[in-house]
Amino acid sequence: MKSRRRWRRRLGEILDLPQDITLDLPRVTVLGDLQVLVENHRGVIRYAPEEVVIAMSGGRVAVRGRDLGLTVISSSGVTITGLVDAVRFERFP
Amino acid sequence: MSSALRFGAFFTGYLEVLVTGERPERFLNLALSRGIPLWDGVRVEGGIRLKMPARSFRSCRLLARRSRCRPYILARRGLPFILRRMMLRFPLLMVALLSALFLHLMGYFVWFVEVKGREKVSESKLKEVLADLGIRPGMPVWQLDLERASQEIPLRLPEVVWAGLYRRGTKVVVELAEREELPAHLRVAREPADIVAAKDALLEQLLVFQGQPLVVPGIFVRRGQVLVRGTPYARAVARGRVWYGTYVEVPTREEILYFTGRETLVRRLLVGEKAILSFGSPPPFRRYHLEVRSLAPAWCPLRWEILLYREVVGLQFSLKPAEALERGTQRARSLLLRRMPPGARIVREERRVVQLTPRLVGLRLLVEAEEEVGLRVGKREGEKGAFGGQRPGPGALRGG
Repeated sequence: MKSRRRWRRRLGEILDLPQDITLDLPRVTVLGDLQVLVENHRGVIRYAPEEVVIAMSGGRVAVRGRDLGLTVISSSGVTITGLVDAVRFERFP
Repeated sequence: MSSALRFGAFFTGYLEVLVTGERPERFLNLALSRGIPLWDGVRVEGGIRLKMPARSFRSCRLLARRSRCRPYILARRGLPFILRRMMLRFPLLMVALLSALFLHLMGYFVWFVEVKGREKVSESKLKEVLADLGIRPGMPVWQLDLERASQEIPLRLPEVVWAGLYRRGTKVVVELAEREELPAHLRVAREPADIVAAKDALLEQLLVFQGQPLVVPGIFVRRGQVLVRGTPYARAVARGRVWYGTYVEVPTREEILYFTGRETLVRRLLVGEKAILSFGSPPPFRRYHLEVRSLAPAWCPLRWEILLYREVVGLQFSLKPAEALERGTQRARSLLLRRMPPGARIVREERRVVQLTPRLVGLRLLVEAEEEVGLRVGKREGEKGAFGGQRPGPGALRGG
């Protein structure tokens, strides 16, 4: 698994491809402390006003804050709005 | 992204849904896997409230069963639902539409005719002419011929020299310019007349615009004397010197009374002229002004009277002879000015002190004034001049 990932990275570097595509990484865009857009996700694991956990390949993204809402939920991305305190990546071992 | 989603959803219709269950997130993921967009998700007590396209709801129910959730529709929103609700209220919609149509159609008719600038033309006559030209309430606008009306009105109404018509919505405004009459002084100048002397005067200036002058400046003219003979009209400016005199007396000691503000009221009941009841004591003032108010007419045998005593104090003023003379001169001058016609100008003044005693100054003021002395006197039929060629007495002039 790890070696495949390494190969992909090497290939991406050689061909100068964006790494989020070659490595299947989520693209997280943070707009101040008001909005977080997570693209290339794998679904919503947990949704509470204080925390939204989004699944991604090989781990998950946890957005913490207050009064969090899911402004848009689609296959292309999840938009989270509210008062964002932290964005944390958790990798599966 | 989200605004495009919302915009599109408004036209296709969307639902506000409450998803309840143990793990509503599972429902979200299943919806995502089916490509159903969701938006405005908010965690509420008992589940997640969110919005979704109306057409996706049927498939969502299957997903809900699989995720062990239950979706509840809270509201139906968007254009299809608005139209459906409106169709349910079809009669109301029709009434609104018909009202709008009615109002629109009514805008094609004239409902008001406003006239500006009408003073002399009679209203009824004008209305009649306007109605005849098709300018009246109830006329459809396509039948109006404002151009023709503006040309016709001055021809039909001799008092009107110009008419302008324009339409503003459902109102037709008619602007009129009426024929102006000649000013009074020009009208008078067109009547046969002579110009005679209004009073005894030394003629200083005679400007004849029309007519035959019978006198020359510098001579003394007597009241009623014809100055300009009308041929048959007369128009002239005749200015002459006229003398006025008056006598005034000014006391050198004067007393001005004024109220101190102290007052006393006495109320009494009268039978005939005798007071049988009296309230209040007579005033302690040395001098007073008394006001009596009776609460019954004088012929009534029983009367209630209110006597108001207001204290008065006199203030003595004494004038110096020079001051008294000045005051007397002013008084005399204002008396004389009242006797002079408008436009008169005082040229010279002469003051003569007639008597000068310690208590009184008497003076005579003579004033020489320059004023218009010409008076237009109309000629009667068959007469040669205003007074038949003879100089009349003072009485004759008054009539002219």
